Amino acid sequence: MKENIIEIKDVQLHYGNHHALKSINLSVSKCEILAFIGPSGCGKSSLLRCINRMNDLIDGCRVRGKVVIEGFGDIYGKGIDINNLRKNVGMVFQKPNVFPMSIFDNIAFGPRTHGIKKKKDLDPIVEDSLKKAGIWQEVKDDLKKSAISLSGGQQQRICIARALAVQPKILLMDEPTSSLDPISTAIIEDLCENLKINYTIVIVTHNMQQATRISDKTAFFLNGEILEFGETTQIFSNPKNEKCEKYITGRFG
Amino acid sequence: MMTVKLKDGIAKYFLLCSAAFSIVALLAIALFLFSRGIPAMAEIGLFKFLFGTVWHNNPGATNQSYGVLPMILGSIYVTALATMIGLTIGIFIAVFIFKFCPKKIRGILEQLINLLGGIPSVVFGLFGILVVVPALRQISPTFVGEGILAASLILSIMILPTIVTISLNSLKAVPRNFYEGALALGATKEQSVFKVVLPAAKSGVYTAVVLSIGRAIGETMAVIMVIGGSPQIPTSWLQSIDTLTALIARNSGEASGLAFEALIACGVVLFVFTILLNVFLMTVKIKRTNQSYKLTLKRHNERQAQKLIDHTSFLHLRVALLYKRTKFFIKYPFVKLGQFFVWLVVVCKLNVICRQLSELLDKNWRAESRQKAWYAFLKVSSFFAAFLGVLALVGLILFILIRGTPYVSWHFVFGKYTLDNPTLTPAIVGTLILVGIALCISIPIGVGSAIFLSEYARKAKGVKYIRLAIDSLAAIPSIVYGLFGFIFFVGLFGWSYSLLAGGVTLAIMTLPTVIRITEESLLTVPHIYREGSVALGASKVRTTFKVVLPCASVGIASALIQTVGRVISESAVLILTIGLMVNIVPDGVMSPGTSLALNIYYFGNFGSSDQAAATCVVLLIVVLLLNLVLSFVGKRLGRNNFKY
Repeated sequence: MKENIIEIKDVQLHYGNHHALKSINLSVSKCEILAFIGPSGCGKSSLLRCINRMNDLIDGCRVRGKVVIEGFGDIYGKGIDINNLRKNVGMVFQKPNVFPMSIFDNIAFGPRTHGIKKKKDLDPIVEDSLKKAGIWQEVKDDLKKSAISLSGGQQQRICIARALAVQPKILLMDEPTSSLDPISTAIIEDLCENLKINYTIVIVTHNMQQATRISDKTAFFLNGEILEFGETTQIFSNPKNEKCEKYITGRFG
Repeated sequence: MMTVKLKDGIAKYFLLCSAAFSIVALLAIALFLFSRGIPAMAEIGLFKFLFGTVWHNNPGATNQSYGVLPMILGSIYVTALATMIGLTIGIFIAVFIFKFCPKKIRGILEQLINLLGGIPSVVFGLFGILVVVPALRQISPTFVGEGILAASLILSIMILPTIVTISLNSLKAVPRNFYEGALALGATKEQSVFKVVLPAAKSGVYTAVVLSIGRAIGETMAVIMVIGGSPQIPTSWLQSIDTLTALIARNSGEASGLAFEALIACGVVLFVFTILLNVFLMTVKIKRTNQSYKLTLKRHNERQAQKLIDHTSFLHLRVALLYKRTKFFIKYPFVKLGQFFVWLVVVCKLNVICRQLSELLDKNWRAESRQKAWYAFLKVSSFFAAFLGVLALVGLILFILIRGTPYVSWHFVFGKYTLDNPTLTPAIVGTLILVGIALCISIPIGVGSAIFLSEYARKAKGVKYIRLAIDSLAAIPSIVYGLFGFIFFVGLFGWSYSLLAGGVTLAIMTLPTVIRITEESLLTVPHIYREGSVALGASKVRTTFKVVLPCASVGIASALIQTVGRVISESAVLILTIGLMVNIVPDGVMSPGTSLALNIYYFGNFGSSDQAAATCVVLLIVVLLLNLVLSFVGKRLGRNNFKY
């Protein structure tokens, strides 16, 4: 049994009057990939954004319960340095959101934020991150080029590299491939396999095949609750929950 | 990390201060006007002041009397007439450009109207002196030419671009399917435009009306040059009268004692009137929504759309459409939100419109042919109005160019000023100093306020007061700013007549423009950039200044250019604050001076119409260049790679 890096205990989330998450309990072990599946609006992304407190940016969003992350304790407790938390819990978004600056500046934005300013220190970090994200070969000659001129798939990998550049322990991915073509998707899935060695990844996906291909564990969400949570192979071969089975086999949702 | 928190705190404090500056400025203006205007009204007697019909303030005269009713009526008459003429022509022009105009010249016309919106009002005034007044003199031998009709005509030409631009934008915001829906019911092109599209664009037209009333009533320089200036109750269209603004501008320099206090009281009347107008406008126009509301709306729509996708299949298409619409919000928040509301309203009313239309078409053929004749008439009117409006505006420019160009020479622009050979050197140096002072103050404070409003203020409680203050500052006529500058900077601060006093006053006046343009461009920065930065552990202040603000740099640049344009065009403020010293090159910010626009007034009013026209040419060239730069920057904005 590996130790848990994230423990979610009785988390409730409201958007105004809308009760979006109802008492979620979940734990994630180190260096595994956990996939969240379920129909839209069921709370997958909301839970994902609880793990690095991105929900703070949304007006009228209230979270109750505990999210314990190794090295931080309860991240909704007092005295938490949110910026440091987000440094350790990186995030990749649904749409590639490279900043309108050069590739180098995009990757260096995070390290610079955390105090690394010298170019000779930044160079190896940028190179290393781009290599990890599997895009170094494609962009190494024009790091000065605007990141916006890249294709969607490349942009998403830049975003992954940018997230890796601050050396997080956990990587949250919110439907990272939903706006990409199949080839870019395949590249990013391979990437996840490689990243698993050093990082814990939580990924939201609408793509069942993707979940089976890359994840170790899967959680099935419906209407703000986790109806089934277990090994991916078990969930997809022998789901216990009836609704989960229907969803997986495409008969509803 | 304490330092990050400290930095965050300091930044927020600074931004809050700059946003609060608008409130402070508004309160200061109100305070200084009221604290001197109200006692003056009391001394004269409120009733005697507001309803007295005799204004007599010749220095030394014994029977001084301060009845302001003639000026109030004058302002109202001129404004009403100008708005009526401008509105009728303006809406027809908008309709013409919108539907009847050949595609080839549509772009040119729109550009032209935009360009004409930037012409300094003093140029219109000069046109009035040189063309309109002499022409009106031909009407009857007893008529002096200056007066209500001349002022109204000039003002109506002046407000035309505003009316056309706003009406056109709201016409464009009407969804295409209304027009097509009407056509599909068998309505003609004209019927569809005038019966369906134009009514759907009503709210934009209201806005245009109120804005142009505000502009007309607050206008000073164009009016002062053609109004005549006799403080008497208007009884005929051709009579020489006076307006509140012109009265203040003409008399403030020399008046002292109660006479000056009475002028401040006039300023109070103007101030109160424009604030009321502004409040009225706010109730009429679609409420300005801040970002948080828009985001919740977007999220709400997305959630609704998702729900529908989840639970129904037959609504699929419509949901996709709705979803697509919500996507647009991120791209052009203001325009699209407006569109969405109009769309919503009209979808609700569509069945009513359809029924009316079909009833309309069911009537017997005689009624039908009468209808057709009426709409054909409307169509011809729109052609005619467009012709007339464009003729007036282009004619004005051409006339000034033809009249002034022969007198423009290297010596006239940059030579040494002598009594026989007046040059523009003092004015150019003065204008540059004014622009410098105004930019140094209004850009930092304006950008700071805009950042506060769009990035920080979502949860703050006082935001609506800040917005109210900014909207009110935007509505105050420039002559009232001039009065304030005169009392506050020239008098109270002891700066006397100086470029500094004028520049600071102009900075306050241009602040709302800077804030609005910057905030709009900050709002177009996609939210996911902020999220991306925050998710990397960047603090709020770093996210704002390193990611969001660079994305809005084009907007800030255009705010800067527009501020320069307004400072260059403005003269009513300067007439009361910088001393109109046309003959000596200013040697510093504390020196009195003049500006290009002010020189036009000076030359125009004192008989040197050749020099005035030549100065106009120089000023127009500067304005044109600024517009070119602006459209270049705008194109950069269009090319900006926000793909969301």
